[in-house]
Amino acid sequence: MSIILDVVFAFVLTYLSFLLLSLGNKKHAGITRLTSTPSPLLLIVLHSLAYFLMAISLMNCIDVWKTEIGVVVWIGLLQLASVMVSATFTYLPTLYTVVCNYLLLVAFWGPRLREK
Amino acid sequence: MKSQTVNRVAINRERLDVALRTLIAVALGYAFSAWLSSAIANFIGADGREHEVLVRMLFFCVYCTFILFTFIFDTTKKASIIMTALSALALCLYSISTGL
Amino acid sequence: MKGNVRKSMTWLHTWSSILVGWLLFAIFFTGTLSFFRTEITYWMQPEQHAAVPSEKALEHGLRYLAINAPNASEWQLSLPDARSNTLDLSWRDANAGNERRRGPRVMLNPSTGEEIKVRETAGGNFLYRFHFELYGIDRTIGRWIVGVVSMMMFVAIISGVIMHRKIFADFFMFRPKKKLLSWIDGHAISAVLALPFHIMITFSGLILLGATLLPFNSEERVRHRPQGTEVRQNAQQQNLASPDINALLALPISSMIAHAERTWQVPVESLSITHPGKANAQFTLSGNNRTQLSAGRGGSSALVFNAQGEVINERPASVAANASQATYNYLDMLHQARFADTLTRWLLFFAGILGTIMVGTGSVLWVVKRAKQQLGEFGFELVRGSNIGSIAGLMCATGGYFWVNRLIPADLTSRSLWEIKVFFAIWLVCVVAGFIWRDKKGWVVQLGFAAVLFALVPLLDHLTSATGLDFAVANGDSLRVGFDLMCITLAAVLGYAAYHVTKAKAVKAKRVNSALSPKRKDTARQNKPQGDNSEALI
Repeated sequence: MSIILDVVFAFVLTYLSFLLLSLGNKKHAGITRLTSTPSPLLLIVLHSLAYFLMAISLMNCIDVWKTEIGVVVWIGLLQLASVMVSATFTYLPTLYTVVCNYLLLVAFWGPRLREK
Repeated sequence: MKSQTVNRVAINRERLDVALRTLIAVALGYAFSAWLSSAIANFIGADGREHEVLVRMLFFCVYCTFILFTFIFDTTKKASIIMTALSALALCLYSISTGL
Repeated sequence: MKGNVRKSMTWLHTWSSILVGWLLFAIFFTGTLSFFRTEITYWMQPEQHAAVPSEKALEHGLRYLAINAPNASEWQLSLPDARSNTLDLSWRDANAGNERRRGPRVMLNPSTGEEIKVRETAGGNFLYRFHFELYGIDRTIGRWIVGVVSMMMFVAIISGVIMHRKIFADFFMFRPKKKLLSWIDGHAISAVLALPFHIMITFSGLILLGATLLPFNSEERVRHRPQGTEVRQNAQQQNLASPDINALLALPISSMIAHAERTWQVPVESLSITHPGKANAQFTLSGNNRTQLSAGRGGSSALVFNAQGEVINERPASVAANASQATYNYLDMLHQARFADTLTRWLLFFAGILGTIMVGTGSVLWVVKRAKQQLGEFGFELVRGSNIGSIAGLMCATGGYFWVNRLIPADLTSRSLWEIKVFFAIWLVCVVAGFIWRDKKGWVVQLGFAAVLFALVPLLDHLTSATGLDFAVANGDSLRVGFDLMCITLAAVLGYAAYHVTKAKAVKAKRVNSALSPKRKDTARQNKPQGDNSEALI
């Protein structure tokens, strides 16, 4: 059972990290609270957070499967998560918007950090 | 009629270019990759099974790069000269490595 | 070649892939299925479906071996695991010496101890072998063909990455209902999002075929030699008396298994007993406890116990002799997924599906992009027709393969050959039909037929297996139920594709002009937009 939880945890982290990375695209950001491409500063913040989440996911995989196989599992989860992000944006845009808005927490920062 | 002849000549020339580049990429590329990967493995001092697997891995990387570069050059003449020169260099390296 | 690097790479990407796309799709599809070849073989031998894993498996196995192989020098038991519901036994006769030849093998139902006699089938192994050496031709020639095609695929992948202008900007972009753009996006997404896998699987496939493709490089060596420093113990020749069954069952094997599973945190999968029934009997337990892919196939450790249940030896996992060997082993293990647990196997399978989609969408994209300009030209119509047979036709052939497995009698001689013949016969018919009906009719018919075949597979399974699907569900037979569910999923996808094609605007197939008049050719060429090779689109 614990391995299932580990896998779900790792997958959710990679999924969230790809959601953050996807916000660099104008069309993706456009349906969130950002409404346009993020500013360079916000882009750095989003990307850093995304890589941080990926790193935690990688550490989790290595912890369960050890290094050599853990990396393989992690890359597999990355591939799956990236497809899920693309599918979410295309077919479930509302879900995409809601989750990204929560991730962004730009209720307070959005207007100032949008690209002019 | 003249434009049709000109176009036909251009098409045939393009086909000849493609055929020549393909021949260089495939045949000369195979030889180049074999010589270079074997030379590298020899210079490193690998032998036996280590030599075999190292050559295998290097070969396909080198081969792919050779093929890509053959089709990048502007003219077929440039591609054939440079790739032939590189192949000769690889042969020299291989000869040196086996002579050591 | 075409003026700049990107245009040249676009040209190279197009031609290196479209020439062999028809075969590449088959290699990728059968290769992806090969990740589950054991499970496919299990499904295709319905006699195994009555097997239910049980705690009494070991007892049944020992009892059978004591009665049927009392004088064997070594017994081997493969316990039910995630990929097998049966108890597999084999033994080595006392006078077999140190030969590596396999002894008799028997399959038992773990819950009842009854012997299971399975039908002969080509199973998943046919798909596995087809994907790297094809079928019906000399093995070396088959491997050369697959090797050349794989090399072209490798070139296509690398050139595809170079030519992709907005690889990061459009990383997640998929625009449905946009005709050509949708096909481009689908091709790009399936390629880019699983790019690590595609590069790995192609490169590792090439190096695995290296012995054939690089004859100047192969060393003469003994087959099946472990690729690490593992030391094997040889069975000793002895005259053995029949072991006492009760004494056997009283042995603390369960505690040995518990000890091993506590140590490794994975289940014990196989048990080997040398000198069974004697005081100096040794019990070697092994499981999927590998943590190092770089160690190669000898990367699992084993525990050796004496008859009192004490650990007398730990056979360590082998270690790669050097960095080159370690890298090679890593790629070898990744390609064949011998190490993979259930999750990892499904992740690899998913990536393989993406690769198959990549090849398929690429072939279709080529046709869609050129439909208006090149309709009627020989080359165009050839690709257009071959796409149908190689993509939809292969689906029909695979579905037919599973159907014929259940329809022909189980005791028919050479039935595995018949299964393969039917596979190729269906495929051949589909290829020919694809060339005749090259427009959407061909797609609809073949996709629809394949969808029906796969949709009815669970019903076929229920009606023609030793046990019904209710038995499978009740006993948690995930292998069988998983197979049937995947068939339904595939049927849904194929059915949706057929429906989608019926709604598409028809581009009527014209009679092919094999010798176009120069005037028409030149006119077509003049009207062709510049930058033909998708420069404006990617």
